[in-house]
Amino acid sequence: MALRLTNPERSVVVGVGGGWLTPVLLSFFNSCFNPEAHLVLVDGGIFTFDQTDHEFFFRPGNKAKVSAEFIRWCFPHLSVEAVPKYVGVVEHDDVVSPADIIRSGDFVFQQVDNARTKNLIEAHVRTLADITVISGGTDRDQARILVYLRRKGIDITPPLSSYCSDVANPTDESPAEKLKGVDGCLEHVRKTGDVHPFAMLTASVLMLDAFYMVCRQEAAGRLAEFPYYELWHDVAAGRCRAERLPVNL
Amino acid sequence: MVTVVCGADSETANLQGRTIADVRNLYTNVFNIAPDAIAKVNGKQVGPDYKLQPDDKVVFEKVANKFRLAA
Repeated sequence: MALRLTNPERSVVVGVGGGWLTPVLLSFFNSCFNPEAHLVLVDGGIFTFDQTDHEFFFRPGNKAKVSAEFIRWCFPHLSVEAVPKYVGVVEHDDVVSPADIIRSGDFVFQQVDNARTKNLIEAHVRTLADITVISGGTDRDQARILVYLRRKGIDITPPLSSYCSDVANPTDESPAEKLKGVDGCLEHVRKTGDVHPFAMLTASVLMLDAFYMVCRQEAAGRLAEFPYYELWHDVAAGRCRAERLPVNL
Repeated sequence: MVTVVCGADSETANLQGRTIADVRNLYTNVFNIAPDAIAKVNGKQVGPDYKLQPDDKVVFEKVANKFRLAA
């Protein structure tokens, strides 16, 4: 039987950094299955070579721009756009609001490090008729992804704020402020030694797994049966846990 | 039976009648529960004195907010 997938017209990756692998994998997928898709990369951060312990960009510079350049080199037939800004409240030239980059029908890969940005993005996407948000992150050895699906104005999976207290009531800083004073990650490794460098790459792969499942389930008319909305993977212990919607009997 | 969850870790055990504080102490090291992790029972935040009922599901909310090496 031929593989049937929906073809999202537009994907938006918010936050490239430690999730640098996500746009590459997504472009690999699009080059094969969805070559007409448009990819938008959004990040205000600057890559420097002292971050190579956890990020890969082939040259220093704005992460969205450098990532887009790399993807255009690898997949010259794909459409890629770079937005070299942080997502947040529009107070600076280097900040863009969610409404300016996310439209109804988009697939959003959310890889940001602060709950405030997630809260802002959620407030916007819940006003849209159709949206897919796949959010990824790590906590030491554990990778976690969250899947928010909304079609024709109805939530198919719960919004993140309904079960993530930090997204519902963010207490952290805005993107520009948050990223100013962060310790180098290599400092953290030296201090604690308790990190797993492949947890982030696992999170990227899990996000793309979820993306593939959404495309497949939607093409089959079975999106309401999406198997999970939260997935944890402990890369050190080899354990996985999924939160699923109650089955309607 | 009560189900205790934190991140990728989950266990169902005979914990009804125990308080959230008790359960947190029991599972802190095994599940690596952060000191400031919020406890939710059946989706609602509860305090340390809440006594668990049969079939309760306790989630110690773990924040996996980073896409970088630092936790």
